[in-house]
Amino acid sequence: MSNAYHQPTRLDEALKLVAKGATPVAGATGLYSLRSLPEGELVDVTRLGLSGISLESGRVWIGAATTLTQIGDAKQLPGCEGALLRRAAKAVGSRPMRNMITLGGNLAHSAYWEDMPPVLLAVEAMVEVQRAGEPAQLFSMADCLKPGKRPWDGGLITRFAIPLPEGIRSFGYERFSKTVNDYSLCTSVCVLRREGQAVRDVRLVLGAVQPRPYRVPEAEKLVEGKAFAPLLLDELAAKVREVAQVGPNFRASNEYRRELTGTLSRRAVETAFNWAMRET
Amino acid sequence: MRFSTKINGQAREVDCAPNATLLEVLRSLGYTSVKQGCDREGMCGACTVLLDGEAILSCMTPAPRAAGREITSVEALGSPSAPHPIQKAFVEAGAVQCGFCTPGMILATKSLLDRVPAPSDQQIGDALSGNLCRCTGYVKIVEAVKNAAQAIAPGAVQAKESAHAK
Repeated sequence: MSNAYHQPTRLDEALKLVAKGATPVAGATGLYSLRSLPEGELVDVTRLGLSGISLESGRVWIGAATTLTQIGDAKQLPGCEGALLRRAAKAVGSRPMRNMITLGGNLAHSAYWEDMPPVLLAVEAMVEVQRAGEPAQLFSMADCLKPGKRPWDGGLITRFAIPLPEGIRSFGYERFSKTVNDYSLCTSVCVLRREGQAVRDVRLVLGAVQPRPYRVPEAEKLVEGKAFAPLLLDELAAKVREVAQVGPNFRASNEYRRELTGTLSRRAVETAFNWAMRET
Repeated sequence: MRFSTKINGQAREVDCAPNATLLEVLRSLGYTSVKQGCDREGMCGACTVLLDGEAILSCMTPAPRAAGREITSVEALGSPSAPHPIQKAFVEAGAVQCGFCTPGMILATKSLLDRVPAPSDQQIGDALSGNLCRCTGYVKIVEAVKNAAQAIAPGAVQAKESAHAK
């Protein structure tokens, strides 16, 4: 049973508590939905000034305590990456849930169904982590999603940097759940760049089918550098179904979710391509 | 642990376990309009309250988070003799049956109408997507929200409708 709930207003104070073993609490939806809270002390990280969105040095910076409602409503988020973040944030649960869930908590909680990590991976976000007495460090999402010790263990995620690459870029986002309020059974995110009539820098990410989201390089290669054709979508869907790693889930069978990986990836890539072709 | 908060406009001192949820504290203080429907999954919306005006799920909110902030439950909105326009609209539209989900529905509606005086069907659907009703279905509830919007800000609704007419 938790024996203290701290609500610091300074980051250094919070970092010291976390370094001593206190468990960070942000939106609390993940932690409090568990039947038993962690032993020891809790430290609330929502009063540290870690909320907000800014544009600096060609990157969007999003504070770790920024809620999904704030992201979903953030008209100042620019470009394809901004539109994708808004789209994904609005797809999560209900408005009261989005008022509570934070971007940092969504990554740190690391449940398989979390909605924002697949998007953060697709836009190649960097994650800023701070520890008591140390300078801030930036980690790639790929590093953050590796199994084992997480970069923020013993510290706090403080903000996210979203790069804003140049060029004609677009995205497709597909999330499938039984009800709008339910966890995703499968999520597919595609980000790509158009170069002439060809597709470049394709990133296809699957979420909610494994403990952590992952890219599907075998399917990305099928599309990379090529002009689009309807046949390619069938190939792509088949390839995703072939290589997707789908973990167990009591909500739906593995066979069904494997089928979803192909269908949703096909839709995501098609949407991204159609949007890219509309741009001139 | 002890902390100060404001519940329905009244300053309160709360003494609770560090890991208590806001739902547990509110019900223990007698605010029984705040219901537990699902099992702390955020799936039913019956525990919805407003924290500094924003709808949140009290079953998943650490009670100490309310320190120095203002909580609104449906008890603050109106009374049987003088109901709030949203409550009145729910009654008149027949949007209440067993009533278990109604406080959450009404607070979700208040949060919506405070932000968007003349909401579209999509905005109403989004605002109420976290509130489950197993009795009435949702047609009457959506009708009640529209009627409440019209009662609270008739000009805003008329402007929206005339824009659609064009």
